[in-house]
Amino acid sequence: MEHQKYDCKSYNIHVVKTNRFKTTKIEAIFRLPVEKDNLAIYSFLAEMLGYSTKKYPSKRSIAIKLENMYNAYRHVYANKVGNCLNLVFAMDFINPEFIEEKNYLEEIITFLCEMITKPNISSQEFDINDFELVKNNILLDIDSIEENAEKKAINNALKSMDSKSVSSYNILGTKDDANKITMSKLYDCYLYLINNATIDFFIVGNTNTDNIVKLIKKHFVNHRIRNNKIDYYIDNKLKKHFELTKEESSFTQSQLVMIYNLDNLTKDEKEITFHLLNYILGSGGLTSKLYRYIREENNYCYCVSSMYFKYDNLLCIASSLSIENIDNAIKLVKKAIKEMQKGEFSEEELNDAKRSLLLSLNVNKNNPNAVLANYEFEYFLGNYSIEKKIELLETITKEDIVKLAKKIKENTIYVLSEATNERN
Amino acid sequence: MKEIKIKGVNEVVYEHTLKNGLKVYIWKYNLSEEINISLTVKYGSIHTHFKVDNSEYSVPNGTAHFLEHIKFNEANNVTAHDYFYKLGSYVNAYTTYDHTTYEVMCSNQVKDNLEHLLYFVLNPYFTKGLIQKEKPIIVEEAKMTLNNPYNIGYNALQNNLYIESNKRFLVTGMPEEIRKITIEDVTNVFNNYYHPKNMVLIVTGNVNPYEVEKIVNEYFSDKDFGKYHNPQIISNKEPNDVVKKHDEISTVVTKEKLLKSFKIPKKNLKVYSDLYLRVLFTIVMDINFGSTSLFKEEIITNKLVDDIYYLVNVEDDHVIITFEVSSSYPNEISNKIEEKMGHLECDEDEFVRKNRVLIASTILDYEDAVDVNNDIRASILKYNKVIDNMRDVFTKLTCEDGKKIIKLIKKYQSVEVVLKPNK
Repeated sequence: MEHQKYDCKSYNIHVVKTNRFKTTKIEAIFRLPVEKDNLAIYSFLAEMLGYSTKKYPSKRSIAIKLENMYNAYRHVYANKVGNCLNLVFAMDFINPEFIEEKNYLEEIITFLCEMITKPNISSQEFDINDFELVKNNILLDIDSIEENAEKKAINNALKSMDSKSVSSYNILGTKDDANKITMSKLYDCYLYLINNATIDFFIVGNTNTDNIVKLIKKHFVNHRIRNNKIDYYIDNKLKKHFELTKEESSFTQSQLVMIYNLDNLTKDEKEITFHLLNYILGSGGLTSKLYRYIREENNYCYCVSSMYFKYDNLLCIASSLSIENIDNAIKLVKKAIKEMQKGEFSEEELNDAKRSLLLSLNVNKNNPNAVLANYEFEYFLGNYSIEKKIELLETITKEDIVKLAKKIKENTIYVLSEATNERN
Repeated sequence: MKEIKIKGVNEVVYEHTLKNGLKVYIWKYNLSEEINISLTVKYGSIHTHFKVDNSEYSVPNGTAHFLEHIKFNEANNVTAHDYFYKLGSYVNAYTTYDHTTYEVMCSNQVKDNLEHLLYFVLNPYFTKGLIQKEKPIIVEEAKMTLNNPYNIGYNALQNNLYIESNKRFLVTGMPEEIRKITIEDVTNVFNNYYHPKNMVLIVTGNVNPYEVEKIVNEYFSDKDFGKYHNPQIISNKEPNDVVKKHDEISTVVTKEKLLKSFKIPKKNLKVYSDLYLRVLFTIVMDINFGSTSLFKEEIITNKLVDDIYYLVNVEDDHVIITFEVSSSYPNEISNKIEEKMGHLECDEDEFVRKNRVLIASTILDYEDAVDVNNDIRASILKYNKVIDNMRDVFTKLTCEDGKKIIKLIKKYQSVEVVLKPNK
């Protein structure tokens, strides 16, 4: 896919031109380094900026405007990628070639830019009603983690690992953090974002590139030049051996989470080798070691997740199972990791993993979100393109996997146990 | 092969019927490397009681889902997963109330993928040992479902909404029901329902339709599945009444949640086909309860609710509308929804805008192999044909139809479940 970058001094515009999709996707990404104290307020700000604008001062008026733009979809959110905090303004819309109205693209760009530059602010304050409603939504979102056993267990496991690590910070912050946010702090935060974030626009779709660049330049005027140097990868502390934490819950099924450090991975290992290792270990479904040992041979669980937290340099293994099977499941996870380190897997398994990963990479080429995300990280971090990953895939050997597996280091075991009365 | 031209989007779906009764649908899309192949059996969790040639059979709840799990086993201690993994393909399956689907995602080797999907689904390999082995896994799956407060709430809601329909039971079955399933139960279901005539094969993506037709024809050329006995599902007609109007459950929620369903008899709505009903209800409910409605704006602004969602289902005898609301005032909001349902509105401007959105959305159909596969399946299962004129359906409907449907839905029952935080 052809892509071009336009340097607009205070921000860049990146266009990935393709006729593959009938929709166009635009993301304006504002980047800042993560600090423990800025996550809650930027999540709050993102929700506020998507909630209303000066011209569309209610959620309902925004909904009507979006329907009038042929059900264009907007999403404003904050997320954390390693040490980087992103505030993302995203819009998906039907390719202008299908729409008769000639100013359709300009309407979309105007709306997107208004969310960023013309929020619903009077006398340096956001609308008080919106503020209260958004605060309520944020508090609910924080609470909702408590209703989901797996999410709760993974969050708690990361906190048990190291509550000072950026990996353990929730993007929404805590309820205390949310309650401390005031109207004036939020306004200051907005100004800080506009003046200090590194800004990039990414577009994927079949659009007239010159026209879209011209329209963004027309509607997004920003003279502050910022280029925050952010080291994305989090350096999580190593431990000599597993530390175990157990907590009780009201859930009816227990949760096991095991966290491993990934120590000093090379670029190729991060980009491709670990994905292959993880296919063989646990992310490759029923034929992977973890599924075979924990589900198929011992029937302890329905599913087991083996998640690569790339920018945290962590491997997280999680499963829902009965409390009486937890100890045995832990032994089986350890056994699977040890086998990877000893090279106890066949060339055939590696080749199967390569073929499966190739399918995933090919599928990514057909998904606008994946195309955009891949390009964004190519630009931000110099990550490999999908094509380069496919090329590299074939060169990975069993020795590469074993060498990488030896960099997997024990860190934390966390158990969220089911309610005692349920066990009885 | 029959060519079904999809109006307004310049796309073609190919339809082919084999001698054994299997229906095959193919959509070619060469801009993508993806290929999605699905084989759907018209047998789901609600079909637990049936009649074949004057003999009646009953199987435990959860049998359809259990069969889906063990169907992946093949002789010589291998599974279908092993085969597809070696091809670099992805295989999965799921069971719903009324069907079971086995699907493969790949980007090459169509013949191998397609033939093996047909092979493993259509050939039984059941042993008592495999049945016993799978039980604890499925019990853990059911427990996982029941470990989620919303699932507990929806299960209670379905239990209170339906008097006769098996939709009141979990698709997986409850742990005690799963433990009762025998090799005879799964064999019985397999023998009676897993026949090509009761299946639909859908292939979408980067394929040549004629090549697919050839592969399928050759695969079945030397296979005889015998006569399809067309089992008759035994079920009582679902009454218009409900079991229990109000229920409360203490669970792991942090704030009250209201789940509320309306059961609207279709008897009075029969001037419209199911397809038109689905579209009309979608528009009317969106006008009254969606993001652009004054109702939603008012209840959120007045802090009566945090958020409200709804879902429309057009079923055999009823239209079911289900609301999910997070609110500190579940009783008040329940009354407000009830009151609004009794005074639905259909504004001309709103109707035109919503309908314009639907017409525009047809532009986005036929872009993704998985989505198109799912859309064709839904169409076949609901309407027994590929809908080729969706744009015409939207264009034909007017605000007057919206007003008419509102007049026709005066009689209905409602049930609700309030989820409360554990004390």
